Amino acid sequence: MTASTQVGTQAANGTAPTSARRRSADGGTRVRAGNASAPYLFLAPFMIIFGVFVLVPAVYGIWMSLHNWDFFLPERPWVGLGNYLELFDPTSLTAVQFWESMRATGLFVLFSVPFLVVIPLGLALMLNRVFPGRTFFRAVYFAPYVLGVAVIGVLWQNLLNANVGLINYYLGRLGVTEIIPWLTATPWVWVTLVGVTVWWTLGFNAVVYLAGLQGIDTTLYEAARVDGASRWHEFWHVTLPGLRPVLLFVVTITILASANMFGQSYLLTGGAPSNETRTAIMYIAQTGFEQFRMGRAAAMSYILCLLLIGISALNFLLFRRQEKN
Amino acid sequence: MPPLPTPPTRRAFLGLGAAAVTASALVACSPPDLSPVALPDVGEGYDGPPLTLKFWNGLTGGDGAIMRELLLQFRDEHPNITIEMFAMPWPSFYQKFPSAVVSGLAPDIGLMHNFHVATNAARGVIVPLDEAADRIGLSEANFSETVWRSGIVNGRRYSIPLDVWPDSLFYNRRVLENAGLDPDDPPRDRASYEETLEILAEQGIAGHWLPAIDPQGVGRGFDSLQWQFGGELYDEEGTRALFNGPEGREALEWQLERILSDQSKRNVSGGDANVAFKNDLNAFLWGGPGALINDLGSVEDLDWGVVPLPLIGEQPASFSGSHQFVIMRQRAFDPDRMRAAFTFLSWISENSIAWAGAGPIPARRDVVESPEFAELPAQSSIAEALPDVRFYPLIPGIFDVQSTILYPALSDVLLLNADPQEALDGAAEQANHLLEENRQKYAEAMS
Repeated sequence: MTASTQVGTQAANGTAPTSARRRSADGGTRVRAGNASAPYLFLAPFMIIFGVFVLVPAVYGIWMSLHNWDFFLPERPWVGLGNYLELFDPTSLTAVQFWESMRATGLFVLFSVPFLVVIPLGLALMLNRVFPGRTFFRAVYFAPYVLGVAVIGVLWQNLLNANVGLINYYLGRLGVTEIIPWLTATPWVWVTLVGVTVWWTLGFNAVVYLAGLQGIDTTLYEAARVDGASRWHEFWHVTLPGLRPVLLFVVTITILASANMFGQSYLLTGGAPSNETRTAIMYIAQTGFEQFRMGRAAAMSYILCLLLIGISALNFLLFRRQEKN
Repeated sequence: MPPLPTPPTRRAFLGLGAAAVTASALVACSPPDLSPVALPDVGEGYDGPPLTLKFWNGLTGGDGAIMRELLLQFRDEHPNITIEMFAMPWPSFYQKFPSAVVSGLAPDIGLMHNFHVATNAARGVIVPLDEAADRIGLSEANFSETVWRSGIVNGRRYSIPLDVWPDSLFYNRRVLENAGLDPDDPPRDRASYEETLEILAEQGIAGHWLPAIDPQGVGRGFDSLQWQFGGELYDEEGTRALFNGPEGREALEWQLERILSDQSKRNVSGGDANVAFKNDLNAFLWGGPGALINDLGSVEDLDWGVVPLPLIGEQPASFSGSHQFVIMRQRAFDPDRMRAAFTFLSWISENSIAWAGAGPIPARRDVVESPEFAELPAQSSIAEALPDVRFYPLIPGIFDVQSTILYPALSDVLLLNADPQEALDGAAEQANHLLEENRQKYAEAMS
């Protein structure tokens, strides 16, 4: 018998932990001291990466937000909470534009999340059934998700363009005489942004739901059927409760993703009309990386971040309360 | 028995790690050194060991291919200097190269739009080139005046102009001919321009598609027009916006009128007018020859011509840009590399006739006056407008004011969502705010 299988059997029999415990009781100090730092050593690679790429930038960002910070100028005067206070001063141009962009972000979340939560669920329910070619359809619905935002931007720009786009052309041939300004007027810009986003990302949520659906115990369905439950009852009393943790994940992640929307409006509408579709991230990027007013951009992103943390926490609370009920 | 060493608590471990990394990051991100630089005193002409210069720009289109060809030709004539060119989209170029300079990875040479020179001069990421220009023998006498002066910020020269591309009137001969108009006589003044558009509109052709979305396309027509009406975008110190004066309003109302009278389509976004022009759907296109001559020239079967913008206002004027060479700030300047860079700048300036093939008009007077240039029909036709080209004022941060404040306001009006005067007044107020902020921000760097 080789050494490794020996260890394996011991562990399986539960003998190893017992002997370790006994040994430490005897005062095996060297072994114990080594054990104490081992978990941290295992953690270290992750912690270093987390520290360098997440923690430090986050803390550094707070530091930046307290200054009038231009990366390329030698003077970065301390302004304390000035950047934050300015965002709550209704007479300041920055505040007006920032809250305008927050409104755009809020509207997009409001319009897109319901579709992004419900449509993929319906799709997952269908794709979970057994029918010929279902793997093909699973791939088809997931396919757009693998495209980069630049690709979908160019694609839909060409399709939706009011005067030279394909969609208006075909609508015209179907007898729609009015030219629809998909990219330049409300409410069409929202239809476009939400529609494109749903088409682009529904595959991801659908796959998550599918995994969730397959984790539900099939005996529950059998029991429900024995009790004479209808399809609707099955869905309401078995499927939905079974999906609760998955739903929480999907709702939270979809809200966060929608609140971080940038590329679609940057590429498709350019923020038009009247900056109505200039989202918070787009405005932050403009302020920080085009005008290099990084202190102010950092302050804005912290406010957005706090809001999102609040919304996610609320989300968790709501789901938990429902669970208790 | 010695006491057991206590393992670090989780909290202490996290804290320690974070502190160490923060400290190192803060040291790494210390402010850049923008003290005055003294370039090594070198002449032109490099005969040292082979070296490679890094050249960054935003020439990602057909113009990039022509620049690469020029670089190969330069290498044939100067075997010991290789120029490695990195082209990236202009927006990323303006974001990336300052970071590269601050972190000590600066390229040797860059090419940028003249309206970004002042901003980057104030940042200290490019260096003054007065002496360099003298040494390689370039002076105002070699260039058309406006173009040469557009490289001077605060009395110091920061860039060497390569070319200039005034917005011009591109006309589609086939569309004009089919409408019963003379394809060889495009309208050059307000009355004939409006008349032509009206004749086209009667036949259901929107002759001049006015872009209403896309920062660059929307605003440049307005800029040209308000200059033609005698207006100014900003006062001379760059502290106040003036575009909401009567000239600005007149310019914007003229544009709006084109849309309301169906001489332009509604809701035209960025590239639409260009696509329509290539498909014989509209007759006129206002745009820069730098990109368009090359672009339209590549469309088979398209019958077009180009002349300077029509005179809609009282005096000829057209928005123009210019590509200009800059030398990036280095941690330490190597005399050999400087000499090689100067050799290149001097050479490409002399040989800029080849660059004209990409579309723009070379900045050098002797090149524009050369017989080779006269053989380029499109380029030489718009060179007529050279005395009337207008640039954005040379104020740090001016492009942000134009692209984030003025152009969206114009867009509002051209999408029929706002009244011209109200939109311009609102934009002027916002622009004054940003101009003042910019003035404070760059004040020290510019003093």
